[in-house]
Amino acid sequence: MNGSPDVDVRVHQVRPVAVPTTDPVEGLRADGTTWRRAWSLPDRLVLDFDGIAALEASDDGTVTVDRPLTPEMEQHLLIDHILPLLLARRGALVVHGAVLELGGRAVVLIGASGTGKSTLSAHAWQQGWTLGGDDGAVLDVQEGAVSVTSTHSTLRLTPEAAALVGIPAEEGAAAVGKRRLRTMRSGLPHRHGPAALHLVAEVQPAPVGSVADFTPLTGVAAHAALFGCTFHADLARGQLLRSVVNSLGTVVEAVSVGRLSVPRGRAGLASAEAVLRREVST
Amino acid sequence: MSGPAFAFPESVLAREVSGEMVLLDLQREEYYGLDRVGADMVIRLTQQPRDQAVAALCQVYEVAPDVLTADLERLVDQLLDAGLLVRTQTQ
Repeated sequence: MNGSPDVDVRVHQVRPVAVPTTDPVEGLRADGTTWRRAWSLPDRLVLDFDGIAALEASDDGTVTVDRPLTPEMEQHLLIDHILPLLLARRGALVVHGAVLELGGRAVVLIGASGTGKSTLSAHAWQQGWTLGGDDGAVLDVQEGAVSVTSTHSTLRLTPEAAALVGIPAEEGAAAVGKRRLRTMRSGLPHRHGPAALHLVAEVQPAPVGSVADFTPLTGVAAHAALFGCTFHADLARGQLLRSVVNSLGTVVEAVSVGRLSVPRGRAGLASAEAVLRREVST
Repeated sequence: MSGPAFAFPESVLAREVSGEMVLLDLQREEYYGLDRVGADMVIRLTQQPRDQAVAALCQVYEVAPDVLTADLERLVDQLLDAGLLVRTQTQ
């Protein structure tokens, strides 16, 4: 499975996975229960998805799973979990976010899961924006200039989100409760190569009927917003984090960062897209 | 000639960001932020002798030395307690 110019991930074999006995980095659900345990070892990454499977990934992209998976689940785990983490292990600066572009200026939408990054991306895509992808963004920091590439050229939407933006429910492929649309098969503008990053917007849902707004963030607030959505925090590797903190400092000083309130509903998406369009044009 | 009275431990990464400061404790994986004034205080304390730092800060913020010293000591105590700063041999 070709995930990015830098790494291919594929399931190599199905056999028992040795889950380490050391303390993992835990991914928690909103109710405090664990959905994933992760161990970043010197030679491999081990992930134990609660009730689904344990996986072991070497840095060359070879993945071992401890049980057979459906193609849908395998694709989801490889693209949406393993791929960004392996890129991060290789030293890439990877944030959980959607990549959009307008007029040669790229925007990364960050924010917690369920805040509407993908829905807003789909709406903006329909309004003429070029879509990179909605899951991972690799930031390349060079001498104060930052470019961004999506980790994978797909967009995942819940049935509700697809209905909201007018995409037929049967469009794309099933993806663990969502539909996965491949950007290059859509006929709409798409891009997988790097684009100059102009803006990072942290998406925050707002009540129906309110007006979208962009609030600039600077300094530590901007840095913390970005740091909180890196995949590196899941790896908890000291030297990687050192590099991440420094690079994000450069990002914050080179591009605009802020909070984008996105009112719920179709009108809210239109309002937020207009704000994004204004911010990326300034 | 005396040097700075304080330093960042090796396990702490300090990164100035637009005049503010991010402090990351790599051992405990804890993330902290200092505003502009706090960052200015810490930068001076880790780069010059304490007396020079206090004198410079009093000028910049136009505040009486005893007021500034009290604020500075409160900040330093918090940072020492959190393991984000250590005293140097020159103290």
